[in-house]
Amino acid sequence: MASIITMPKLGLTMKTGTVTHWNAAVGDPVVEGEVVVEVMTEKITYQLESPATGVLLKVLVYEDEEVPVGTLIGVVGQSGEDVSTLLTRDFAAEAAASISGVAPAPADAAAGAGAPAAASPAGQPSPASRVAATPAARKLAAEVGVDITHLSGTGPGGRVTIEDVTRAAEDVYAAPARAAAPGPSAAPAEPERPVREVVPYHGVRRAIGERMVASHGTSPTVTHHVKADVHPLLELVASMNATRPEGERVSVTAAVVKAVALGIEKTPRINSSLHDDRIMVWSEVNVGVAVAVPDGLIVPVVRDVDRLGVVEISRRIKDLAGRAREDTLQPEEVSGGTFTVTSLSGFGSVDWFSPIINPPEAAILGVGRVVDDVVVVDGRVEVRPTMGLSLTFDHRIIDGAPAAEFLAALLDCLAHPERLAE
Amino acid sequence: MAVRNFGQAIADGLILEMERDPDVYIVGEDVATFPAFGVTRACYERFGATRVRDTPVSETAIMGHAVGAAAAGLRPVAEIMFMDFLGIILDELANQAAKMHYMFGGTMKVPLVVRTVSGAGIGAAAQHSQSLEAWVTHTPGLKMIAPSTPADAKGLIAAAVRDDNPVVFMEHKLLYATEGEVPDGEYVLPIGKADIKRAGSDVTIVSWSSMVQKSLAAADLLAADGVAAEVLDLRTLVPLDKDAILESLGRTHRLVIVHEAVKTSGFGAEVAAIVADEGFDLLDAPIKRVTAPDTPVPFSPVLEAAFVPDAAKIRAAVLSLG
Repeated sequence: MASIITMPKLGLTMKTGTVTHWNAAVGDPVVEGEVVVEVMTEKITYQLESPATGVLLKVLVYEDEEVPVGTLIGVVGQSGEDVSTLLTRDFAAEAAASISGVAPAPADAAAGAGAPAAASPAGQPSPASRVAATPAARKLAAEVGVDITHLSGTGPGGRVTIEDVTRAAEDVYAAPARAAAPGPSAAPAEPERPVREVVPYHGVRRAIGERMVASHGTSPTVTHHVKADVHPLLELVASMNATRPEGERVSVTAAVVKAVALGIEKTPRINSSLHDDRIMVWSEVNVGVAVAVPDGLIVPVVRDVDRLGVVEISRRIKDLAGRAREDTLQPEEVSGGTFTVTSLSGFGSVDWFSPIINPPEAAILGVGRVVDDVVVVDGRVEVRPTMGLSLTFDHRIIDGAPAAEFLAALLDCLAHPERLAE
Repeated sequence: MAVRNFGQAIADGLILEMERDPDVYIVGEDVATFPAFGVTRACYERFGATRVRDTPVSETAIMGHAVGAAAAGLRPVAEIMFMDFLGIILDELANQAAKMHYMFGGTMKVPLVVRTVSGAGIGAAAQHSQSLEAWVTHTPGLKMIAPSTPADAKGLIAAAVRDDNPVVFMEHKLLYATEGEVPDGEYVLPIGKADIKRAGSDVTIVSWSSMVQKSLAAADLLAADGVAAEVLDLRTLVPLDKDAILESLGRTHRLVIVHEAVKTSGFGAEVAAIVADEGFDLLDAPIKRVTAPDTPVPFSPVLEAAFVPDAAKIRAAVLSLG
């Protein structure tokens, strides 16, 4: 008996979904529970598991096709099985019955992209009464500590609903960053000009956008800038790489990540999150490293960098970044970060910038280009390689002084990098 | 269990009560010789003209007689052929029957049942098609029952006969031909208990009488839309099972109320007000009412069909909450 895969309904408001990727081709063997296809709603990407063990017999909806909820998108059965009667049924019309044919597993292609959460823990007074929200959503928001003023409602009349609050709460408390309720934003009038290209603002792109807005609107940030003399650091990296084959070379970024871990050891508050009425200072030092991917960015997380050597950190960053570009990261590899490093060094065009914090983290380090500059060394003018560093921090929980202290520790590591190689 | 229609189920219940208690009898226009909807024919055949009594065509006489008999200790089941005639019996019902127990300090009981026929759908026009349950619910001292299935009708008519208060028992004329499984023998349901006719998690549809059937049809349509609707049949409006409404809403967070009566001051407004008061924090969407418009029931079949709420209107109301 063949089993069907239909477009799942993932909420009362979902009307259609788009198939984004088939992991199996027609004729491929599949195992029950194995992810066979990914679908995208306006909010999120979901991975659908095979409902049975057998062969993928039919693919009815191809990649990038958008179809109504309940539509038959694939059939799994035994090789040679006749499934013609299945193909004549109108599953969209039988949606409620057919949805149970497949188990949706939330996977979140958007996970780790940019900053999560369109919500902040409550605690700041806010004009909540002016936001359209249902009574049940208000009650839930108060209970779980979500500030509804930052949510865009998806309910009737644009009201914030239980679903919106739940999603926001998951974003804040269950670190795996998930898209905030995008909600229907007021569509500006179409400009009457020739258009070169229309890029859909949805999925991961939209998730990044919503999180940036949420982060920027939630935390009052300050950015400290400094120019670091990285001559000793580059010498160390060069000496470490002198004996290494091409594929195993240590990156400068890995050395900076290790320096961050040592800096956090001196000023632990940098490695914290604001949860409701508590500031959680974390034991683990899990550093996210932002990776540019086509039309977006992903922040895979290197865990426990304080316990890893720079060689291992370098190897892990390389592995994670490669798989980020191939879109094969697992959810746990893009969640649980406590601090983020984002580098524009490779472009050679930026010294300093003001990165946006990746909530619920408290700080982010921007790494600029390495460029020869004039510096004073022991009273003498010298030309040295320098690196621009920019530390953005959440002033609700980190003051300017400890942030400066952290940067001082970081600079000290870069000036005496032999500690990094230990 | 046997398959019975709605009218047969009521007759079954009445016959069992008349066998059980010699004080129970039936009175009304044509109840013995030529019942308008056939319900009491079997009672007449079983018990004869003494306990199934035809009256002159005077609702005032029927009710005056029945209230007096109940106050004196009998248990009359009076039939008012169309609910529209409530106006003629209102003094006997609302000023006498409903108030005696209170005005005589609890020493009087009025164990009276008024069976009456409601609803549009057969081209009976403005004076024979109304749903006037809200006239009854607005009078303290009266109980108001409006079943939707043969089984509930049997169980609740028995409960109405056994109740020591005046009870109005509303029978929608389109329900008489509907069939369903009915428990054999003595079967009594509690008055004041709602019943989940279909379970669902996305929205609660509250209704009673024939609109329960329309709501179930709407729930079928909604299932195809991917919306799991719960259909809660109130069965009795007074006393009202508030707990069942709030409990269901606690799971679905969305409420649609469906009744055939006109909208303004309909019993749906009472349900909505109770929920706004006692269940405010449960609501995740505005409360919607699906009702007849505020007009007399039209005689034109086309307009009559447009007047009565149907599954499509209920579905549209539910989807407007998404």
